[in-house]
Amino acid sequence: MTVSLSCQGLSRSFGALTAVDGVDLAVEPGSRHALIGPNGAGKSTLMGLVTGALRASAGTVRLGDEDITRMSVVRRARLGISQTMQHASLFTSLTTAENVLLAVQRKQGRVGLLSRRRAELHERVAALLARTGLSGRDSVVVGALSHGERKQLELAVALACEPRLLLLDEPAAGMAPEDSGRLVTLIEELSADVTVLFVEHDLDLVFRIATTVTVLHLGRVLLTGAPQEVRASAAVQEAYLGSGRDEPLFTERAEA
Amino acid sequence: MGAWFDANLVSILNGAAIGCLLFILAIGLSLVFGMMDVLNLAHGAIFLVGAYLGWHIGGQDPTWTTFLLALAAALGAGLLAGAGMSLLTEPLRNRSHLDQALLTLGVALVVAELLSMAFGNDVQAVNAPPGLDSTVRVFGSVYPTYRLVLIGVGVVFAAGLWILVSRTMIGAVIRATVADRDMVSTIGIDNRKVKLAVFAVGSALAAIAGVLGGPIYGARPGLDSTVLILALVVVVIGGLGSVRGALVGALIIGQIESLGRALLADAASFLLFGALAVVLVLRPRGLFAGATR
Amino acid sequence: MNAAMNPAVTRVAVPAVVWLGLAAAPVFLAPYATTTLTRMLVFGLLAASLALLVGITGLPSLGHAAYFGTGAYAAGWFAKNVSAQAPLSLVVAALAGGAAAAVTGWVAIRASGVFFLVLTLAIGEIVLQLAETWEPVTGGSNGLYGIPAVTIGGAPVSNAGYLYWFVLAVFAVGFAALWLVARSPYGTALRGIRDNEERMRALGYPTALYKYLVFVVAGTVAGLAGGMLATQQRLVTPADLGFTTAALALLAVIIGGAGSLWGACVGAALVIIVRDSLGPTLDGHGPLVLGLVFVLVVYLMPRGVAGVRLRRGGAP
Repeated sequence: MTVSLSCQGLSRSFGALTAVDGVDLAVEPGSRHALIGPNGAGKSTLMGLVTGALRASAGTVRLGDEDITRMSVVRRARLGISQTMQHASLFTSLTTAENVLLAVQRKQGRVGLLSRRRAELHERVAALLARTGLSGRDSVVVGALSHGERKQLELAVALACEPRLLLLDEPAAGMAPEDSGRLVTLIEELSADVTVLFVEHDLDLVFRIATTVTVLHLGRVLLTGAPQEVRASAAVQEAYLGSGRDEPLFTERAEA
Repeated sequence: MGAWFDANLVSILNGAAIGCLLFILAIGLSLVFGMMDVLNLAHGAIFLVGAYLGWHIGGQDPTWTTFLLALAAALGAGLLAGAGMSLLTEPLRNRSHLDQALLTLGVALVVAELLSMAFGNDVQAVNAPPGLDSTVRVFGSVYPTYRLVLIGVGVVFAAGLWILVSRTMIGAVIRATVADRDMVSTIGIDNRKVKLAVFAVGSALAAIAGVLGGPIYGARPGLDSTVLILALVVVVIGGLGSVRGALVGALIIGQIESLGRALLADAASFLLFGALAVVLVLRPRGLFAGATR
Repeated sequence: MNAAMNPAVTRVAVPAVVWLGLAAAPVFLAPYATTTLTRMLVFGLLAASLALLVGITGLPSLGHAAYFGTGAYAAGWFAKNVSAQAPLSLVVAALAGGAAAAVTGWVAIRASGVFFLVLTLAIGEIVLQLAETWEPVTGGSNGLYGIPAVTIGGAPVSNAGYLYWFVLAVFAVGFAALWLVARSPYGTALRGIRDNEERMRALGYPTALYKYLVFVVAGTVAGLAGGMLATQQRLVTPADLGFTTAALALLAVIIGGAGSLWGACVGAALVIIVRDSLGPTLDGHGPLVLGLVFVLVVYLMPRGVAGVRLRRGGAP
């Protein structure tokens, strides 16, 4: 069942620094919601508050009807939240296939002493690797993968959890163009049952995939709206570029 | 209540004396870890070096001259030992804590054996210097003067350290390094020099504590492990890198060691573990955890 | 094509040869060598249980000897005061080790990294002190002696060869348990926890529970090994619980390659050989050599002592 994400008055401070300040965010079920903003805007902190890695100083986070503000990372994961990290967070001494297997076997149920339904699990692993373009690399240890391959594996692991809410933190960062093309296809092909919230700096990508865009600036929500709206907003331009400049932030590119 | 207090006053004062000694010992361990992320399990062995120096130079009945000489020797030996440890652990900067633990444990084993070969395996007792080796009346009980003086020394030391840490430039560097070591190096303070200094001073304090502890613990093989465990428990309870934590932890452990053993004899070890358990369950990173990494 | 080169064949053939060799050993060896091999099995099982904890799960424990010693004392006391009938005292040993691990592990698991290390060191010391002071049960610093020989069907097993076979059988049970855990989905999860615990939690794994369970399993098998010690040596001293034992076990694990159960056994055998041959010449200065060995081992291992061998995917 498709689920929504909503944050009300969400705040997080680190000592004197308020990284996220009273953020209200509503992510519609099944939407592709982008979170953008200049460096230091609080995007990663906000993501951390949603996944449970960081505890909120104030405010609430709701997944559908459930208040998950006080829930641990583990519980939120069991409720169907899955994520990729900015710097690929993988199991470095294990192989590509084993990384995905860990997610798949958890999804399947209790992880015990006896491997049940091994063939089924391995099929799922193979399918996920194929989707993310890693088929030939299944027995390669993560340490030997390239940066781009690791990002792909990150995504495979996140998808293996069959999430209801998928959080992507700069999924295209450092990727070569052909890989980011595949990433776009992957996200576009995601079932409409999955709600996606992603942080991205690559604005072309954002405007291709996103159904809604939220702009964060200095820990606060500057604007939430359809991509076109955000593109045209003067306030957003100012946040990114400062007020002294005139040239447009987003240029229209002729579609190739 | 009053009667219980009277009966146990000696134990309580003992606890305070041991606590002060543990504080001087443990602060070096805590700061080395809190500041430089290095686990030095040879710290107990350095204490033992100080203890044996105290016994060797002063004998069982030291004079003031020999006592002060022993303190000076301990200071020197401790500074050298600390510098040595700093150099030995330099190649391990980016390795796991287990590597550091094994290395420093190896050094501890070697040092303890060398001490055993040099000074023999007997349990050596050391008395307090003249003038401090008598007793004093405290609230109707009789109490060894030396231990009261030790409490005094501890208080003065703690006060001095507090002023250093909170009011001086050095203290600011210490606090900043505990909070974020890498940031400090970017503002131009050489990490390696800081590490060397912290190790040297911390170890010097351990050796001095060994001399000061002579009238309480003497000098014997195995003492290094005993005090290492106590120091580690102090540091874990207090939080790594926290001066306040080391003081509170030391006082708590001092009481457990003293009052606990007096009241519960053999079960006192459980109290130690119990205290650890309680603290870690409530505050997994110690009572006054330093860095928020 | 040379069939011997097929990896699947070697994966079955090598262990088979090893087990057969172990089973046949007493037939060819003198009693003294058989006894040494018995001690290697005991220490090997201890090391393997530690390898599960340190190498596979990434929990660096310096106090594992506490559970070994607890099992040894429990088995010894049980054999002296209740029954020496096999395998009762060994079951008691395993349960005692497991119980001790369950109680102390509950606290230990709450700590991570260096706190865990320190905590296990403290646990080891505290259990040692307990062994030295609880005279009525443990015999204090003299140890628990006069443990009767284990009996099978009423007949005491005192022949070195038969004793060896008995210990080998117990070793096989203990090792099988460890091996089962290591190669199960749970075992893969443990490796995941070792590599990246945060990520495992983000995948929904209750990592604290997993770590607690493996701690108890490792403690149980260590306890079983302790029972084997009591059976073989018929004497248990506080040193068996002490830091030196814990350190030697860790050394065995490191030598064998931290992630390998078999490797830990080989490492244990090496440690026993070195200790036995060097012992008499060291004049009681064993700790000095041990200390130097630690320093050397740390410096000589460029990827760190817990550096995991890059496996080709498969064997534990």
